[in-house]
Amino acid sequence: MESGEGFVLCSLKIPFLHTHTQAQASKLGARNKALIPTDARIHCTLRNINFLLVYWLEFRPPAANEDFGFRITAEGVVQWDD
Amino acid sequence: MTIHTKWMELLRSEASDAFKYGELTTPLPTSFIDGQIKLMKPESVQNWADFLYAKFTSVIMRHFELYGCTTVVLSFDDKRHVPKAKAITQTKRRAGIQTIDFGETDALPNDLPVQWKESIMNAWFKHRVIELICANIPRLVAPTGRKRLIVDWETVTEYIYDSDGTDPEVVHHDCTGIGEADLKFTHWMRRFECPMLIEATDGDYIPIALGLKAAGYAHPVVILKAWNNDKGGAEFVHVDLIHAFLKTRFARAGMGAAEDFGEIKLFITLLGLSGTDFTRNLPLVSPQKIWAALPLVVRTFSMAGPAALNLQQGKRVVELLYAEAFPKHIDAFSRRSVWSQVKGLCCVL
Repeated sequence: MESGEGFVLCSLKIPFLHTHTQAQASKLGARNKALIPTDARIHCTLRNINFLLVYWLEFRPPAANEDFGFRITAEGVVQWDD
Repeated sequence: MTIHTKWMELLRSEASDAFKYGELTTPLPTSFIDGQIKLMKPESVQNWADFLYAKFTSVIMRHFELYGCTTVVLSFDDKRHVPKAKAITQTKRRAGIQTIDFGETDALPNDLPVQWKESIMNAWFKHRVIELICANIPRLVAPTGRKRLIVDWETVTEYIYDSDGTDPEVVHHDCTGIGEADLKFTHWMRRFECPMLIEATDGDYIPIALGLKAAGYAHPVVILKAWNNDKGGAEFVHVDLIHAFLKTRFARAGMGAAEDFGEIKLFITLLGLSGTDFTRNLPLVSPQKIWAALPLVVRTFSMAGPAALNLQQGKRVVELLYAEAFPKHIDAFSRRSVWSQVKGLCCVL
């Protein structure tokens, strides 16, 4: 929230005051809000990147997929591990 | 999927000196052709003979005769060695496409299937097509002078030609043990130890070629990436000039030169954040936004040492990128995750 901006609480526009406890739901659009990643998703991507670094800098894939943000289901399907 | 197309747009715009159009100004002794990408065909190709000529014979002959290469490697994926993690991308690519019914023991039809995409996405059909190419192309090319063609698929076979009209000498080699064609060129580059031309449309050849630089292989690499008739024909990407550009930009952003090829490791990391065949992208943070935040990224990451990302540093960079992208909604210094900041109620004291 930007300093000085007002926001609506209980239908009243109250000026921003640091000394008051206020609450506001983020006004990010619903679509964007749904796309913001969880910590698990972020960690998954970061571990994927470690796979990529080995693969593209050492020219061989790492042996253990599970350490690099991938999981393999009982049916043998590879999935993102988040 | 290769790398995000916006990265290519960004490189074309910011490192424009590395992209040259028309003629290849310096002859390169060796070349590598990614045959996997050439399995797609235009509507105009209507029979097997045209397919072999248009997609392979004429291309290989162009490398021999026009570009002056004395050794050409034609490469296909060896699916026995493709990383399992690739399956995620492969499944996504096949989604919604009804592949043809074609089994392990089926033979290719006499005529090209009308539904080419649905056919070539059947793994056994594709296998038969690659067999057809590998069996026929070596006898269809006729280079002048002493030249060699290496066909690298599930086996590696070298054909050595003389211009005396005799059949080429055939030498069999051990399989490289590498799965994807786009990684196989690193094997040949290291083996030949000389400058190389690569013909491939996939953008991931650029970071992989940069990876070779980081591994100490300094020979020039040029990638014939696309055809752009408006700009004079073939688009050649000079990887060494891309590397020089990255070194300059990352040094400027970090106020000092990166050590130990840190700029290459960090560039690969940034490509990974935008999504590749092996990394799940971070939504809403485009390559342009990442690039705009380069000083922040460079100063947060330490990429010296082994090729591995510190997960804590990585998470911090991601948080900073989201805070840059959504400054009104995400506080870079909050103890809460970016997700909880936009999902929950924000308490302001």
